[in-house]
Amino acid sequence: MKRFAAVFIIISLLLPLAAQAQGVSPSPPKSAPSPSEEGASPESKSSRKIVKLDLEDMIGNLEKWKQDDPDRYEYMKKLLHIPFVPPKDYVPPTVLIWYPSGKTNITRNDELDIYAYVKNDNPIEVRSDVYLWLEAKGPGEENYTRVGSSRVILANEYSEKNNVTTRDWSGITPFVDSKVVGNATLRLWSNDMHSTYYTDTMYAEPFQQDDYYSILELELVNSPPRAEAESIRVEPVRARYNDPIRYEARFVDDDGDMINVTLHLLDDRGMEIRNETQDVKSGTNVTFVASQYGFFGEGDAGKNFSYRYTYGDGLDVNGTDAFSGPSLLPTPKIFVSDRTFDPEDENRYWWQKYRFSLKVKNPEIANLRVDLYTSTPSHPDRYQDTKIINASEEAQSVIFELRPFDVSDANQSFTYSFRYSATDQNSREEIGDLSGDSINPKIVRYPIYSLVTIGNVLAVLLAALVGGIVIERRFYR
Amino acid sequence: MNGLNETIAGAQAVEISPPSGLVPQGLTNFLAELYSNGLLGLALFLLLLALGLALHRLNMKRTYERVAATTKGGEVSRDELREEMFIRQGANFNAAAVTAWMLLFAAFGYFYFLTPEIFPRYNYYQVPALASGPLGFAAFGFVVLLLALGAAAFIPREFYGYYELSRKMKVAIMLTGPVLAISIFLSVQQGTTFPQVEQASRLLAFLALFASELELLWPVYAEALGGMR
Repeated sequence: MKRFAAVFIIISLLLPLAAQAQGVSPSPPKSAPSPSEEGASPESKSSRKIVKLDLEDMIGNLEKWKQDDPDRYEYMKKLLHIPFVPPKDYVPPTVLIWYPSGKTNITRNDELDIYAYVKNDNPIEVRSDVYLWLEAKGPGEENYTRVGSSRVILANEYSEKNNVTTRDWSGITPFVDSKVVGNATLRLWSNDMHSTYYTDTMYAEPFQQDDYYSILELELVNSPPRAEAESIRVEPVRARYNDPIRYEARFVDDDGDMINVTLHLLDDRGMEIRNETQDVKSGTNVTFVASQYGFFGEGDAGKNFSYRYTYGDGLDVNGTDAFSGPSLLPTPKIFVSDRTFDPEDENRYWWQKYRFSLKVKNPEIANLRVDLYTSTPSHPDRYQDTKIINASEEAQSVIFELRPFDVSDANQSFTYSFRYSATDQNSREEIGDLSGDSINPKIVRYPIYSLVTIGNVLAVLLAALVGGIVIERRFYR
Repeated sequence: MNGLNETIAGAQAVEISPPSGLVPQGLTNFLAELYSNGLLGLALFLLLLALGLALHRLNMKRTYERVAATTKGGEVSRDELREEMFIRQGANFNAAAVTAWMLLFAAFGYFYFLTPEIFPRYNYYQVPALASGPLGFAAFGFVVLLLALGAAAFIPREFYGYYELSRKMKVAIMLTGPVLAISIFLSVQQGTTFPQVEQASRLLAFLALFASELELLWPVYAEALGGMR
C-alpha cells in the first residue's frame, strides 16, 4: 500500500510538468496552419501555458544570438549539425572518359564526340545523384576549363543490367580558340553528393583500356593556310587612279580555320605604303576594292604599284611573292582624233608619197612631240619623222607627207602609229597599229622606156665598151 | 623580202604567156624549164666555159704534139711554140671581143640575179638602197662588170690568139656584143615589170645569152671538132 501511494504522489507531481513540456513545442509553419489549432477550446489554453514561436521571431533570435554570443551560437550549430555518413558498403561510382573515335591528332575545328562512362554498383536506395563536368586544358594552358554544360545522373538512370550509364558531349570544339599547337588533355569532374572527384586523380594510376580513359591526351595539330596562286590578281592592271580597282585572291585552310588576310600595297620600289586586313572563310574569295579603302589618289596617276599578301590562321602565317599591278594611267594632257592615211594614188607603190595626219588638241604642253612610225615585215617599227607642235586651245592638224617605204616593202601589208610626248585621252602615249592596207607588189618604179632605165642600160653597155677598149690598149698591144 | 618571194611564187604560178608561134610547144616547155631553173642555167653556163677551156688545152696539146712529131727528134719548147703560134687579131676585134665577154657576164648577171624570181635569196633586190635608187640597174651592171673584168680581159687573148679566125667568124663574135645588149635590155625589162613575167622576153634573153656564149667559144669548139675529124 505504501508503495502504491508513493507512485501516485510522483505521477501527481509530474503531470503538470508534462503539460508544460508540451506547451514549448515549435508551432507548425505560419503558411500552413493546422486545422486542430483553430478548433482548440479556451479551457485548454488557459489550463496549459503554451509558448508560440513565430518563424520571424526564430530568425530574429538566431541573428541576435549570432551577434550577441557567437561562441554559444557556434556551439549550438555544432549541436544541430548532422554530418552525412554514407552507408558502410557505399562505393563511389566509377567515372571514365569514353572516346570512341580514337583520333588522337586533332585540329582546332575538329568536332569531338566525348562521353562520360559512369558505373554505379551501389543499390538504388543508396545511390545519390551524380553531377558531371567535362574539363579541357589546351596546349600551353596551366588550368582546366569546363566545356559546355554539366550533366546529371539520377539514381534510377543506370542500366539495371550492368549499373552503367553514359552522358555525352557531342560535336564540341574545346580548343577552337587555341593559339598554339601541342598537347591537349581532357578529364571529367564528378560529384556524387558525398565527394568531388577528378578522373585524372581519382585512380591510383592513369587508366586506359580500349576507348576508355581516365585522362584523354590529344595532339592539337594545324595545317597552315595556302594561297591559290592562280586566283591572285588585280583588275584592271592598267587603270585610272579612281577606277574600281579590285584585288582578289583565294586562300584555303585544310583545317577549315578562318584566314586572316592582309593586303600589303607596295610602291614602285617595293616599299610598303599601307596594308589592310580581312578575315575570310577558307576557300572563299577575298576582295579589296581600292576605292573602298582609298588606296589611290590623283597624285598616284602614272605610277606603277605592286602588292603582296600575308595570311594566317592564328597559328601559322605565310606570305605570297610580290605581284605587279596596278599601273595607274597618267592624267590625260592631250586629245587626239581623226588620224588618217592617204597614198599618193590608188596604186600604192612603195616609191610613192604617203600622207599621214592626226588632229591634236594640246592646250598645255609646249613643244609637244609627235612621231610617226610605220611597220612592215621587212621594216618593223620603223621611225619616219617627227613634228613638234605648241600649245593651243584649238585642235591642230599634224601632217606627215613622206616616202616611208623602200623596195623591200613591196607587196607587204603595213601599219602605222603615232607616238607623242604626252598622255592622250586614253591615257596612252601612242595610237598604234593602224592598218594601212598593202603596198603594191611592183618593185621597179621606172618603166623600160623611161630615160632612167634606158640610161642605166646604156651606161652599162658603154662601160663594157670602154672597158674593152682600155683593156685592148693596155694588155693586147 | 618574204613578200617578194611570195610574189615570185605567185608569178611563177601564173605563167600563162609562152612565146607562142616562136618555137614548138614541147621545146618551149623545155626551154622554159631550162631558163627558169637557176642552178641548171648556172651549171650550163659554167659547163660551156669549162668545156671551152678544156678543149682549148686539148687543141694546144694536139698542135704541140704534131709540131713535135715533125721535128724528128728535135726538141720544141712549148712557150716558143705558143709564141710562134700567136696571131694578132686586130685592135678592133680584140676590143669588141673583150667588150663582148664583159657583156656576157653582165647579161648572165642580169638574167639570173636581177629579180628574185630565180634566186630569191641572192638578187639585186636584196639591196633595197641600191634597188630603190634611180641608178640601181647601172650600179648592178657596174658591179658585175668589175667582177668579170679579169676573166673578160684575158679569155679573148687566150681563146682567139691561137686560132685562125675567118672574117665571118670575127663578125659573128663581134655581133655578140649587140646580141648580149639585147639580152641585158630584155632582162632589165623583166625587172621593171616584176612581179609580172613576160615569158617571151625571158626566153629571148635566155637564148641571146647562151647563143652568145656558144658563139664566143665557137672557135675553140670548131678547132676541136676539126681536130677530131
